[in-house]
Amino acid sequence: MAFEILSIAFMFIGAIFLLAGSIGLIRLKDTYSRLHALTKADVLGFGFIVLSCILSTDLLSHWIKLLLVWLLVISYSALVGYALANRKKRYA
Amino acid sequence: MLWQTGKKDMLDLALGLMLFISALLSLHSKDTMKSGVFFIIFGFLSGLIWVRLEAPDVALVEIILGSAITGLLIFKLVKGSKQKDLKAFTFTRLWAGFISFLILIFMLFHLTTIERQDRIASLVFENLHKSGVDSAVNAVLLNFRGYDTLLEVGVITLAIFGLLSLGLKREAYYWDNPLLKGFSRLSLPFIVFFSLYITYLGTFSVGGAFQGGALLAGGLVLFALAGQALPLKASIIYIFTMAGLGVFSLIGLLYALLGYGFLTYPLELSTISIMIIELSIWISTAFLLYTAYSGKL
Repeated sequence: MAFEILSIAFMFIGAIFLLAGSIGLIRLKDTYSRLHALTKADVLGFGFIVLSCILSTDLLSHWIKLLLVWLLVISYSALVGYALANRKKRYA
Repeated sequence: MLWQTGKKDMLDLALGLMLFISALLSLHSKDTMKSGVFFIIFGFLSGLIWVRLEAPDVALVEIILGSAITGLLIFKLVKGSKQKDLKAFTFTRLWAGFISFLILIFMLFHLTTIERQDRIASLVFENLHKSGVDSAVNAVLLNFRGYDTLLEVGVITLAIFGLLSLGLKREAYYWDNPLLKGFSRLSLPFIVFFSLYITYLGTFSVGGAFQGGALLAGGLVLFALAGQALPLKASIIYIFTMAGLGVFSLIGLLYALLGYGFLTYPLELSTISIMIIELSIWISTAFLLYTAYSGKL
């Protein structure tokens, strides 16, 4: 029961971070701040969602899969953020 | 009615609506680059819809081919072209719209008149033990309707070679950056391993040679996007691209010569033959798509 409540709470927090990131992507003025909002909030929000998913299953194989997905997504997110910022700096 | 639908129906409705909007934006934005971006979103959303329809293997192919690799090909075409408007003329668009409309009418007619009846699926499940694999999709693809798949592989091979013979002398798009280089080098072994795993999984579950091949093609293209050439000779890449068609038809002919009939595997040899064919299709799909990106053999 405690795990379920914790899981729902983490899912909620993750959703809020993702929503904040999306609003930042739409509302902020220039590319760098947009990227900042998107990539930072993305990593944090996605981390909370993965944590919530881990709390909702008991299978070790699911935990490992979710952790691998998390690792992949944060590394891609960082790389894509870097790539976009680099592009912007070079061909502004 | 809309207010009586469940949460899952709402999700499907939202996905369908987003698909429609992305298709519309892709067709009607002025900038060709923007069209390409919306086309990628369209491919990703249709992949999600395939997941909702419980067809994860189609979803995999749709997301990798329909959005990632086709998107790259579009960007390659757009980049460096002086012609801003690469879109078809009004007449062509009208024709395409008319034909799509006819297909829509036909589908709607078919949807409303369809009857619940015994589909061919039960026949497949009855005969699954004779195919040598445990996955119904791959039993149909590589055993019961192996001829179709052979022709399909032939079509892909011909299409890519047609693309090459058009001779678009446009350099493949790449980004020379140490971070991307390191990342692609780090991830390529994992991608190769995982795509092999998906190919192997095809014999008894969701997965298969085309899915694994498309995934490997994605990895190879990522490797090439960092401005690196594959450490393989052109002749080896050529052999890899032709491996699927070659091995498939050779095995078919072998069984024909042995007296079983073209592509009719005897029961005790069917698993191993299907495995060999799957591996060959895996490697050739991957290298054909890579060739389509790099534009040269």
